[in-house]
Amino acid sequence: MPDMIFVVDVARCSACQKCEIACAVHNVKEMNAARARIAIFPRPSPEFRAGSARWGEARRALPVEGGRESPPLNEASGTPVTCLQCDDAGCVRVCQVGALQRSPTTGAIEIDHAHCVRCKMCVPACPFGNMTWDEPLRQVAKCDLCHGMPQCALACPTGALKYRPVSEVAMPAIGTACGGR
Amino acid sequence: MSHEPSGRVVKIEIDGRVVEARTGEFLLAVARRAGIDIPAICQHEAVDPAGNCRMCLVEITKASWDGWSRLVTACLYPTEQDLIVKTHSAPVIEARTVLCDLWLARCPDSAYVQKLAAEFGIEKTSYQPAAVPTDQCILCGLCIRVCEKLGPAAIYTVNRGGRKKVAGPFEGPPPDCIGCAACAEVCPTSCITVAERDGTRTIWDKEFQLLACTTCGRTLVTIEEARYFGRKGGLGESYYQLCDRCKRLQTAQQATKVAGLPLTVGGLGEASGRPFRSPGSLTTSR
Repeated sequence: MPDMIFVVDVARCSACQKCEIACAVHNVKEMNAARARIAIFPRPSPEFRAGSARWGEARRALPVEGGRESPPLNEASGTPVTCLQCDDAGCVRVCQVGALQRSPTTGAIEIDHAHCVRCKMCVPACPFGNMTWDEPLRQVAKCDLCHGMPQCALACPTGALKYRPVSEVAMPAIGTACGGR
Repeated sequence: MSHEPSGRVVKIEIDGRVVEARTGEFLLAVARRAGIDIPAICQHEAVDPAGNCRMCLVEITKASWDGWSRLVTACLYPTEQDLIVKTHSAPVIEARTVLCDLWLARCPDSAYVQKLAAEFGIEKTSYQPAAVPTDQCILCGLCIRVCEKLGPAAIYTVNRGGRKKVAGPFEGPPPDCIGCAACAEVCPTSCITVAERDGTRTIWDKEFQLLACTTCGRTLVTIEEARYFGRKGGLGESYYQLCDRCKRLQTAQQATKVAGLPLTVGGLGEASGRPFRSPGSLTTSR
């Protein structure tokens, strides 16, 4: 039984995308958020959206404070989506070669690329879209909690992503998605 | 065939190093665990070893064998007490060199075989090259074993001798093929051709419709593959309506709703719903 748990607090996410960058750099050694195993969906408020033709342009127009771009929390926010490490996971059910196994230490489902024959079936089998195909590596990719040191949680400046001892997280509150059991 | 080591711990010697193993464990697995390199082409973790390619030949002997030794395929040879293994002795290198020489005669155009032969110092085959060069297949049979492991068992070797090759029944398109292309992915010489065009994938002369996302139209696997593995894994077809990106957007929308936040996700007038993202680095078609 893993003693740590991955906690997502949607309300705290500021859509800064530091988690995506940290994930991509750690896992594929490339500063490319599109290849991250975690995805942030920006969730700007209706007023903010109304005031900006395009989100990217509006974001660049935001005042830079302290040399760092910092969108105001209540205006720019996001929803992080990453692997939920399901108990009865679709990806594991369709894998015919046993390449997807749950790690006894972290509770995360890990890919054994030596066993994988790249039939890619686990990608459509995930109902949440958290199994992806990484074309440059020609491998399937999913969150494995970085084998117990999730880089996204380390990089998160607002506490939206946390990796905490299970004892400290009593019950997943509403609005909290949990991974790693 | 599945092979379970019986569990008794024995000591064997590989290239002068004493290595612990369990009886019945195969030599290749023991050597790899100890960090000793033995080349192997038709070996894949997903399937049981078959000893087809012969590249993993090693020389074995025992102190009690009076200097006698023999060559065995490491992938299939079970360990036993006091075994002495040489992975790069003169007879081993000679055997591997002959293998590469023969492969080069069979597949002179294969870049993989050329590179392999060059490692053993062979630029040109010393055998009579094939009059009509065959394809680039070295008949290692890994594709067949992987296909069998996945379930369809759609391909097999047909004919005998010089005309032996991997194909579907009667050399036609294999009826059981689901178009997953795992055979092409594991093929060491990359000689199985997969063509994707206009939402279809052609492999083994059989054309498959690719499963397209109902929202954005992205494709990744064939419809047959999704149905086949979905049935095996007990998943309904509703799993496959959207691609992973569209499903993630849906997940984000649901998570936002569950969190009781009034804001909507995505939908800033850009099709992807991912406004910062530069599209294109994650593609599915090859």
